[in-house]
Amino acid sequence: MRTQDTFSEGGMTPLFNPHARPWPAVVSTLALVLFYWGLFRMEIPGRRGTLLDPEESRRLQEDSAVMQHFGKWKQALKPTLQLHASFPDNPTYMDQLGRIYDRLGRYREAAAIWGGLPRPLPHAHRRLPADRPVLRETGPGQGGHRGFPTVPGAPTRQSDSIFYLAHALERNQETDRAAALYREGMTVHPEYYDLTIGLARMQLRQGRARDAWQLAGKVVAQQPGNVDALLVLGLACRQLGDRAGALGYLRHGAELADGYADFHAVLAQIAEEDTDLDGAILHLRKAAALDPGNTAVARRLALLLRANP
Amino acid sequence: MRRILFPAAGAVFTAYSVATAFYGLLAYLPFTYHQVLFAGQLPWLNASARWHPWLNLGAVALLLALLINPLRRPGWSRRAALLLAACEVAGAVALLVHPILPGLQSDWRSLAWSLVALVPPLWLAAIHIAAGAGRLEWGERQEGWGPAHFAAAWRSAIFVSLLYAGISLVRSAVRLSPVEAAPVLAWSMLAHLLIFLALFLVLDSTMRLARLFRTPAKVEFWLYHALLAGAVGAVMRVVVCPSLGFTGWPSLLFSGLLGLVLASQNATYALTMASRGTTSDGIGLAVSATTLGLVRSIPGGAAALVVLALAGSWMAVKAAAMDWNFTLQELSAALIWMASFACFYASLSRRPRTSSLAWVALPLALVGLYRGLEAAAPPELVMERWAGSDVSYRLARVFLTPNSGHGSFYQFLGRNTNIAASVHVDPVPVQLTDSLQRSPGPLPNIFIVTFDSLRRDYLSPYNPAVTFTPAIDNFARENTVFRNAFTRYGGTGLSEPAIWSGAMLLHNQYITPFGPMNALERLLGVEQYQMLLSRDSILTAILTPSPAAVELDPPGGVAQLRPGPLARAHGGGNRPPGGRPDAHLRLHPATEHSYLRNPAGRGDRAGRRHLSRLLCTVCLEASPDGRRLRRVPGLSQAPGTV
Repeated sequence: MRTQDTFSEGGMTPLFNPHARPWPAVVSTLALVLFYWGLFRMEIPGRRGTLLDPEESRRLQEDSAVMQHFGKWKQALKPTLQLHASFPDNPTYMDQLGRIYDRLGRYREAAAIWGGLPRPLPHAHRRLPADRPVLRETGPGQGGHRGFPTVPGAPTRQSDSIFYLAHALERNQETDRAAALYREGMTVHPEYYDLTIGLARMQLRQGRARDAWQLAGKVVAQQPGNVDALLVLGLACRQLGDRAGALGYLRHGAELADGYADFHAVLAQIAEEDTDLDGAILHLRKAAALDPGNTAVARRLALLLRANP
Repeated sequence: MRRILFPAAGAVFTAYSVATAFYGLLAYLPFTYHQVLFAGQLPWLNASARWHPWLNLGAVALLLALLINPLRRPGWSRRAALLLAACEVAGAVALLVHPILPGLQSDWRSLAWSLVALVPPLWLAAIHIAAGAGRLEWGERQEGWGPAHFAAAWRSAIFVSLLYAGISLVRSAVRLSPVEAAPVLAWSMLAHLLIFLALFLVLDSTMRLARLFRTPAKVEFWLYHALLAGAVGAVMRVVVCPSLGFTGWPSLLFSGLLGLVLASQNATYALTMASRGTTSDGIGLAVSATTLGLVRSIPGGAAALVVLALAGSWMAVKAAAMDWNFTLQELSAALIWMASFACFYASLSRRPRTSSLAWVALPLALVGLYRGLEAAAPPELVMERWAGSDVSYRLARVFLTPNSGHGSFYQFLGRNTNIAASVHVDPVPVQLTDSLQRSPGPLPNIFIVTFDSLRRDYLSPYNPAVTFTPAIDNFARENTVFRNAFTRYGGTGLSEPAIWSGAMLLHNQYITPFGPMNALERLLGVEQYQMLLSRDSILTAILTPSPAAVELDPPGGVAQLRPGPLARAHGGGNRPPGGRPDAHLRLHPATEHSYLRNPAGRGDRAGRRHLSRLLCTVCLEASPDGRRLRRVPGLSQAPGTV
């Protein structure tokens, strides 16, 4: 059947074919719409980097940064989790999320985050000058030198990520794993004293007070003002029965860092052991003022206050 | 013969009009105005602008020949042809009296002329289409002769995917192990299948909608051309406009108008070829224009595909040697996509075929596979590398990447950057120090040699994996390397002035007079340095003219790095009386573009060797050591030095 062009004839032939079935056109058009939706609109959980546009990412970063700055860790968690879900390989968000979990006391999650961080942290060079050559060669994170492989021989795990992972394990009461990790970090970065002190703390927990005392002593020999090491020395001396030595280290540490609540908490314990109720209350008051969220200190202070009306 | 001459003349007129429109566009955009037209990077382009009134005269003669038939017809087409002819003749006379193109500036008038240039071919096409469509009879498909869009789509996807993968592998642009190559090729194939099956879905929907009408072939034909106009506009918008910094409604208008011009040209040619015939396949008729009506059988289609493969390979290699931001390469890939689909369709539509609605399930299944794979194991670094050599995959990726919905921040940037030269901005004095005084004692010679478009990861001082820049490596070993130095801007026209001012600047090429902002020039003046310069268009715009400055190159010669000027610099015979015996030498050889434009069309490997030689040359010349400067004349013998 041929149809003469209606335009040329100028006749008024019907525009539509009355016998045509519309459903194939409807199905085909629906398939096209479904194709577009599936390709561009459908959200797939876990898909990387596409759920957030740059502006939304920026907004979430600002939310997270402000909440972290003011210590609102619970409020900081949601935007940081969203950022991490969209950019799961980004070490900055992993770093922030690990810290937030740590502050919220969710040490298992913190350990999982730090455990998945094999790359250098973007700010690691600020903390440890010795890391700079590594950062220079591997670049500040993935894609530093696109198209070229990472320099062979560079450590796969950075000092900060080791420390934070071990710290999270420590908080999660996984003492042996934390100790092993601190020891591994010490081997790679012997000048990173936080790792050494961490190992000393784990040795204290394991009842190896003598080893802890030696390790912390080495740190204090290098850095006499290192209050973390002084705390470990004080605790080690106390475990070893050297009460005078313990008091010496702890009081020296408290003088150096009066805002360090742990010194006062331990000094309060020693005062209690010496039945010095006023001294214990004094130190517990200081500890409670410095760390108002510490419920154990608050409970103990309330108890002692009842004992000394 | 008339069937060949008529479309050929129409194509020439359209090409002339599109070229004129693009010249206006280059003048309108601040970046291209300064870097291409003002800098004289393409001398033939500036020459053709000077000759434009005479070229236009030839185009008008061609147009009048094309209007002979419509002028003989009665009715509105005669009146439309008369009006067009009158406008064109008047315009040609006016252009002879007052040429426009050579005087175009970076302002809205250039955009207006650019858009105006696209109107005559559209007008001409409308006249011819009205005449041609009236002579054609539109039939209905016979039973068993379904459209070939599905078969053509998947075959085209496989063809272009394999073609460009082959080109990429043969050129050894990306070295992949077999373990890496398999998923890369599979992913590229999947991306191409998605693109072409999307085309199938669009055409299928179009055809089935067309069947609701009394003349489905005719509706198919015009809907196809509407889609073609949209596709051309989309390619322009996503490939060409971003590379030129062309955004906003002007880019939408230009892209849309260009799409209409090219689609109408295709429709004109298709109707001319089919005049006085009967057609039942509107899309078949439309694609026949793309294949120039030469593909009428499967062997013919196979031969056309071989030609396409050769042309695609040639264009990919040639375009890679002279490209800007992959624009030409992606455009050539888009052409090959369109032509290969047309060839497959034209050859496959010659045999009986059934059409099934169930075929629409395949694209949907592939979308599910694509999104699932993307979420589970996203192809990242290796596909990024692959996209650098397989331009067809690169283009597919552009279309498959969801629009991130540019937020208000980007809209703000779009409104407040790339400020046209016609917008006057007063300079703000840049004072980097409160008191600028001449330093006591002897001062060093200072050499500033700039390269742009050279990424740091291609230089061994910054990337130990690089082995092909030994000379610059040696140079770096005996000097201080700044590893955390970053350019202010990602464009030469802004980053060079920023070097001189030592500050951030507005996105305006250029803020003039630049003197108050030129902190480096002021410092050199206070220290009484003598400047020996190779001026490019940027320095011409931002430096204060000074008789004391020694020009190392003749105007326009800056694109060539030659030892002669350096030898003169070393001789120092042009120092003004009383001037300090210190030389400030600034070279901007712009060699990175010269290298890319080398006439041999060298591939990446040859380009690297060439670049290495170039860097070697610069190392030796740039060393502030007199002995090394004496070695310069010998370097002129180095083969391949531009």
